[in-house]
Amino acid sequence: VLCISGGLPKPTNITFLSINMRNILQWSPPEGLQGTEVTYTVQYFIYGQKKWLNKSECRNISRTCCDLSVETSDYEHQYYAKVKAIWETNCSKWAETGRFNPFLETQIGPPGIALTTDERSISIVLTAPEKWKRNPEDSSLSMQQIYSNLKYNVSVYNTQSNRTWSQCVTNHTLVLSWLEPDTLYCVHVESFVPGPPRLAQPSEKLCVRTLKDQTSAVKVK
Amino acid sequence: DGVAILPAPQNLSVHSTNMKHLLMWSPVVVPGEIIHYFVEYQGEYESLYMSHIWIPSSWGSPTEDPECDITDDITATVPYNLRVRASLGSQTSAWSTLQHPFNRNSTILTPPVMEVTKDGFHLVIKLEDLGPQFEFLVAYWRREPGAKEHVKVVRSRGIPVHLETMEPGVPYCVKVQTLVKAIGRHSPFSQVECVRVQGETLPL
Amino acid sequence: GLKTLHLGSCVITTNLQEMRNGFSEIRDSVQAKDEIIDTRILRKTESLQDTKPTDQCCLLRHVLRLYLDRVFKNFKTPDHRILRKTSSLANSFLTVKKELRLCHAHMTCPCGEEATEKYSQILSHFEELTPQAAAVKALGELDILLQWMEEM
Repeated sequence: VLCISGGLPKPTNITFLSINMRNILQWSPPEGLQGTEVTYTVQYFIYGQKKWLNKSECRNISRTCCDLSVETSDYEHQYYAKVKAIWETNCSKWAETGRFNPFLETQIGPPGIALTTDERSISIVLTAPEKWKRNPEDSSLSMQQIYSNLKYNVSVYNTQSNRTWSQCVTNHTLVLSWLEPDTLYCVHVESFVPGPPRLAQPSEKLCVRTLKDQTSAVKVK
Repeated sequence: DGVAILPAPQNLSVHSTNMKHLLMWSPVVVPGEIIHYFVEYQGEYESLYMSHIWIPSSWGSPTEDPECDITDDITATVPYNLRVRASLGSQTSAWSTLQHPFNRNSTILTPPVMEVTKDGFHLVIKLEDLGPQFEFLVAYWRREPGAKEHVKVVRSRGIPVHLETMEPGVPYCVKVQTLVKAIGRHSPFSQVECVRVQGETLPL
Repeated sequence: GLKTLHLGSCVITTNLQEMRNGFSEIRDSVQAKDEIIDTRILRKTESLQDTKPTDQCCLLRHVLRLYLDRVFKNFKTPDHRILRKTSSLANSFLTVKKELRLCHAHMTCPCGEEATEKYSQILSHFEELTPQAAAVKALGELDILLQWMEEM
């Protein structure tokens, strides 16, 4: 695409949004050009190698994001990406990311949570977050297989006593026993990996009510 | 050009508790004037590899108080040299250097403030948040003959932590000590606190 | 907490978490100074985890010495915040090197051919650059080195 380079301001806020190794490059339109017919072209670079590579599906696109998960899937490597804006015969200079290290930067998504309850207990079954996969039919890889020290912070909120307590667990099943009958409990789980500080993806809160007590009541003072 | 007319600060000392380190010295007094102090430090690396390098303290360059929080500067378990000088306008004093290098492994560790509570049958503990370097060794047991002591290492972020599901009628007791693995030390145990869940009959 | 590194028969504990936290605060600034992105000093072919256990201690000891002698020393910055963080990292590296020196004293840190060859590769990548550029690049690659150590 022949265009006058620098004729446009650069795209801004260019970053990788990475969750469970799904790595999306995203940016904002150049200052003052929101809403105009601007298109964008993306390239990426593997740190330590020799040249910038094209991403054909992100050439002359009008959206402000580009999925580079395939290109950045080897997390032994680090990457750069850059994008330029094109409008009519003008184009911007490249706007470039910092060095992106997927292994250290990807956010760990929340686990899947299944709750079952009886009068006095709630059993929590967690399903480890799944790593992004190229094709839906590919076999699944759990983030735990990548981060062996993945843990879960389980927070339990008793809506009646208005108390919260938490437990840090590594396995995927947890039984909260000796709860109050006929009481609404809310559970919230966050995955975390000890290591460099990393943004966290909290789970939504799931609430469940323990059943009414069928047997003789136990008075708790 | 600011030849050292001002006296150098004296009596430098470091007071360190729970990994919070405070450098203190005797103030330099010039009636009617505000003295500023400049604090600098060098770790063992600097003193071995580049001894001319001194690093301005995060919070004490400059400061008007005769003390400086050097916690954010002392970030490795090695001896640190520390020095202070006074300044008044263009006048600066000579540097005054801490007599013995300070190593954070000498910090005084105290047991944490703790709150032992129960939520129904659940024994829960809430510990003060002393920072990311701190873990807590929580020991808890049933107060009855021959009871076994359970131990849990907990990271506190000020959120209550679940310890045990209690059996009604039996007192449960808890004590805690602070652990700082970065310096390989722990505090004495706290006082013991006990709680009990009343209750006569147990559900089948 | 502390991380135990198993380097063949040399076993040491180190505060990787503190070093990681310190580096993550300056990583973007330091890596932004490295404009030579088509070369890398710490490469997968010379990684610690792909080195046979008996040579891991020696390789790490030499790499740490490189950092202490020629990276932290040659890295210049007017930014006091970055200066404090690099000082913190240098002093933490010093404590790791002391532990490795104990292994060396107890003959559990032998230098085999593989360690010697890999270190000379790393050194040659390092010496392709000017001292200042090499120091900036090597400091920017601390997340790679800390990751190697994490996997020991």
